[in-house]
Amino acid sequence: MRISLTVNGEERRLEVEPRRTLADALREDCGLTGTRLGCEQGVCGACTVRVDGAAVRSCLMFAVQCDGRTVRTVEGLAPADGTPHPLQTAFTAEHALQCGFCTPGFLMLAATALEDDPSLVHDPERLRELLTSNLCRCTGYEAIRRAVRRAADAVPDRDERVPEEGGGRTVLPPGE
Amino acid sequence: MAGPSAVGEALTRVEDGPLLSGRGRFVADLRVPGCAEAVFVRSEVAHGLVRRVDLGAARQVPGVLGAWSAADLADVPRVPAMTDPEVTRDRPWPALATDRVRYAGEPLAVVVAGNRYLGEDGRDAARVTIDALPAVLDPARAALDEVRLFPGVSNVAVETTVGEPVDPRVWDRAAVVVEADYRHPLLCHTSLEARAILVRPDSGGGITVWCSHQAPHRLRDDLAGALDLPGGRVRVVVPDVGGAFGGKSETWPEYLVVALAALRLGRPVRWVEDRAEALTAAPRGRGQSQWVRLAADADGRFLALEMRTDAAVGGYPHTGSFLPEVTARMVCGAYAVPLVGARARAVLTTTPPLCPYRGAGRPEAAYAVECTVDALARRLDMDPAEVRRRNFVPPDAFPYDTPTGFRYDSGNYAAALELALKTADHARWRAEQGRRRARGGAPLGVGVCTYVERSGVGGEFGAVEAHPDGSFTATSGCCSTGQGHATSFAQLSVAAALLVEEGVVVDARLGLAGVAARPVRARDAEHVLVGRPPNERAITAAAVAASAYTADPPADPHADVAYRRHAARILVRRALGQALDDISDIVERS
Ligand code: FES
Ligand code: FES
Repeated sequence: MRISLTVNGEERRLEVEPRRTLADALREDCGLTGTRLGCEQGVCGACTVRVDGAAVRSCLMFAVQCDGRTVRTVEGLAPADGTPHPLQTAFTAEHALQCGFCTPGFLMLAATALEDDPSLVHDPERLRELLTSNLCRCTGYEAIRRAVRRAADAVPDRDERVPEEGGGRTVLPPGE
Repeated sequence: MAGPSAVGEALTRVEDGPLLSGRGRFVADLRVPGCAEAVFVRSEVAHGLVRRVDLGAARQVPGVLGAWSAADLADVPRVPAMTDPEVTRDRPWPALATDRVRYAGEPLAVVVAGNRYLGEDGRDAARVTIDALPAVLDPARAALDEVRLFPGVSNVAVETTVGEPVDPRVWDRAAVVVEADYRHPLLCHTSLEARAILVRPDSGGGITVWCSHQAPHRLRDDLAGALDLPGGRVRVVVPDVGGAFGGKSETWPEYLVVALAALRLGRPVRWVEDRAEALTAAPRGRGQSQWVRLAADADGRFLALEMRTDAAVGGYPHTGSFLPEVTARMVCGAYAVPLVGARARAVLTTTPPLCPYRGAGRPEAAYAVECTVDALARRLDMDPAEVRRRNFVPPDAFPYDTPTGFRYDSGNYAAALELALKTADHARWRAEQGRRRARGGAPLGVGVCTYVERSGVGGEFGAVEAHPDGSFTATSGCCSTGQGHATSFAQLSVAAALLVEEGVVVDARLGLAGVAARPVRARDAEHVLVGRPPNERAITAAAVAASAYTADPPADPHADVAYRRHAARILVRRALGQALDDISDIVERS
């Protein structure tokens, strides 16, 4: 099937099998390998990307479902001028990554949630709940939690967001 | 960007930039032209006789480039033993099952296709017939040899005893004896990136291998040996690794099969393990059944300790047979126990092969001894911290030889415990616990645990080159699996160069990075060496001088000044010793 989608601001026309996941389309067809696959069954969140502003697990979505939609991956997280996104700065400052395999997923998850509602970080329970969405096997999560808190002040809020990504919302996988 | 900086400082990691922006490169991310993907057909039963593996339909699936079972290969490569070839001699492990399967998930065949979707179509078209045999999951039961995994060969692959059997009268006469059984379940390593390998055949008959691995040098030698390639023709590259935890330091059957498929097809082939495989067919850790008995006098002083442990090493003992012995040898923990006897068995079970997992047998020992010490404290109604204090190896007993055959080089365990208790405000928590017990409130548990780990096993290549501009290049054979080696190795390095003429040092250069705010030349130490014969005394004097030279190393919570001086002294000794070894090598050769 022929589909067309906007990925990190760039229009992509792809020819995909109906069964191809969004994750594979991004990784293999668009060459954007920053989106990682840790489980391919919606559990680990390493594959989290944003579709029309919502955080989704790209292993649970078919590429054809994204026809005509807007996708942002970790490669497009930082603004085009090359300055790092506040979460990227905070993750390195707080040592919130070791092997880094889970990191793109956490960044996309947290970026979405903070744009939605930066006050989230002042409620330890909500922040904890958010971060339980994704798995990390190296850090123990505490540093990730600190990093998200640290970044919260600096994340552009809803009104300043890139216009194409309206309606940000954090979508958790079924069952959560 | 991290410049030269002192040991112990919390630096910004040089690794982070690419990993944060999606530019990390794990094996699955590599773009190698023409690369095909491998998918394995695996056994669904834990134990059975292989009757038929039919790949006819699999080969017809569009996009499938090749499919092989053991029957299609004249010579199925064998998985090499990681530590003890003796144990594996009568228990061979073919990379694709030949006549029998010994764990669920064991590879029976490989299907190679243009992409994973097509490869999995091919896998699903394979037809397998296996006559199931009884499974044996419990190592103690398996040791009875009622069901043998290798006909005519015992399931007990290794039986080791350490220490001495304890005289039965000790148990009879002791004021208190506690005993308990502990079960460490088998677990999966679960690195977020599962196993992955990409093999590209090179012109000239060699291969280049990209693998998510912890021990690339061993993998290189193992691949060369199993595939009968000259060692120089195998090049192993480890890109970014998404965690390992012990499960990526071995040479797994899948790696041999992928290399074989790449050579047969004459094109690059990759296998990226998926989570379903990683949670079923992948190696396991822990898996011990332990029995421990501890005797003490009325004051809580240990008299004797016994342990028996059986490890479920899985269908093949190649990667885990040494683990229970490690546990047995560490059974004394941090304690001076006069009488110790332990028996360890590595027993075949119809489970995926055992291999090291985070501590490799040593945490299993700590768990057993610490739980038992707690049981003793409860029996004597003593503070668990106090029981430990009374039994630590005292500081003046180092170097200390354990009854199990290990030497502990140094330590002050009582001081370490005091520091930990103080840091955690143990007294306050105990008081709070007492208060809640008296007046009600959520129950509060307070636990104390000590841990000694034998470390530094094996060797590793390392070198530091000092350049005229004052910069250093550190080279290491030690492979990062996410820990940030590139950052930390640059933090503390020592380089030494000696010129020796007629048995006397005529020139010496000694550079230290990471002990002070900037790299320094330890000129005082250089002066100590010049004009003296390069012997042990001179080296010691130079090391002391060099450590004092760490003029104002910045202290921080991770490494205080005393620690930095200590580390500098040891590293300078080693670097000078190495320089002298190199000199004597050259002298011998000339
Ligand atoms: S890979 Fe999508 S949730 Fe794990
Ligand atoms: S940093 Fe390794 S899994 Fe999170």
